Amino acid sequence: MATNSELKQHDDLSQVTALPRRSFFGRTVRQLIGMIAASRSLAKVVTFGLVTISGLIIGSWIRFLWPNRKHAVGGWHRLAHIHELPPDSVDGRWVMSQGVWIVRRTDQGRDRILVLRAACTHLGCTTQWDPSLRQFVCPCHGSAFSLDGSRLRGPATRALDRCAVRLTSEGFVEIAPNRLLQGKQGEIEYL
Amino acid sequence: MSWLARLRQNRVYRSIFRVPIPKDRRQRVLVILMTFILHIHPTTIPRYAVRLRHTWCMGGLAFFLFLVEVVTGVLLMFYYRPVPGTAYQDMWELRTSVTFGIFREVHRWAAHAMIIVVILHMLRVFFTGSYRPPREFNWMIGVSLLVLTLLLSFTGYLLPWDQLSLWAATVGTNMVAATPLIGCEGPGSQWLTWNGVPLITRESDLRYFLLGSSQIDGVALNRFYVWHCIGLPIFMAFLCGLHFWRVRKDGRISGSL
Repeated sequence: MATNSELKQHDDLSQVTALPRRSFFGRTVRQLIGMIAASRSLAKVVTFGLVTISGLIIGSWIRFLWPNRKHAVGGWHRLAHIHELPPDSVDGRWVMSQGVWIVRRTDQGRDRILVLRAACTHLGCTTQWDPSLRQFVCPCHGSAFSLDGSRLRGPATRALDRCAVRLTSEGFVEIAPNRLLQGKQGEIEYL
Repeated sequence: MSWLARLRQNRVYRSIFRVPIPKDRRQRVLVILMTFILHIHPTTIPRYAVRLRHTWCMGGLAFFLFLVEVVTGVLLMFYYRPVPGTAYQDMWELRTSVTFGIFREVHRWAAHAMIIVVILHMLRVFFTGSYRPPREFNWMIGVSLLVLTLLLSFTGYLLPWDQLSLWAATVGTNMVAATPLIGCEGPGSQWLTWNGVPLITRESDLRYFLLGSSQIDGVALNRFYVWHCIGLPIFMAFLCGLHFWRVRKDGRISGSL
């Protein structure tokens, strides 16, 4: 604690030795470093600072790598006109672009259209249509699916997924690639 | 007990740092001597070595900027595709759409800064006479590092794939065509013939070898990309290690000998 008389001495400018401007900055920095070093919390301050700064930097890396763009496209996609699809047929023209099989089949006397996701429900390989067996067969692990996508053989444990599909009044088949359905949904009847 | 003290008793912490925090001079020397990461640093340094005025810290700054370039460069590689159809678009998306895409600018600024710092480092070494024996070999390594820095800058300059980089690379590599004997426009290249057929043509000279093509196209872009991201940095890292090792062996950081 400085006494009043000491403070008064400091006020007396004649007592202060002049400090060259060039060494003022260096001395100030050294004083500050010395003050921090003299305090017992130096290790804490340094550790906390380092952890915070590295956390912020690494966080910015992760955020940088996180993609902002969404590649999936929503909405309804027009694929084919109903007259292009013969009865009891499997159309593979959209396997590459949309990843779907368009199936037109007759079941219990009704003409039906369904759109199957070509990705196998086991580990995602693209299934192939085998016309002689009339099955979708996965080339990776041999899972097999029937014409309506139901599971015939493993290792897949469930049927192929279906895309939401609709038939416009002009007779166009449209799908919603982002809307996946399972089981018996997503089949439309065409009379 | 403070959380820091608790951390130091943690089993994981102790498996990494097997000795306690050094308290005296001897322990500190041992830590520097025995720790793999710290061994690059001398156990003791002369008092003058910490004076900023002595070295301007330029060598350390150059290496720091190299590390910045490595880190930001790896980050950029996650977005950038070195293909003519996407290169400019990917660069532009880094500037406009990617969060923290400023890493692209950091990469560019640090590259500019690195050139400046490396040249200042060279000037400092020159003015303090630190190239003289026994440091003359380290001076040569330093010159190689300068050349590598310039080559890294040059190869990186093509990657944005805009008009500026395309024509800069065109001009830069056309100079290579003037290399004696093995450049198609260089002196003496007309002497190299086989049964009257010239061996050194625009499709077979040094420039063609560097570009993999007779003009700046996708093939050349890929070559520049690989040199920029893999080839040159490997040389750089190796020579940096050699450079620092020689600093230690040639009588420590730039003092008079």
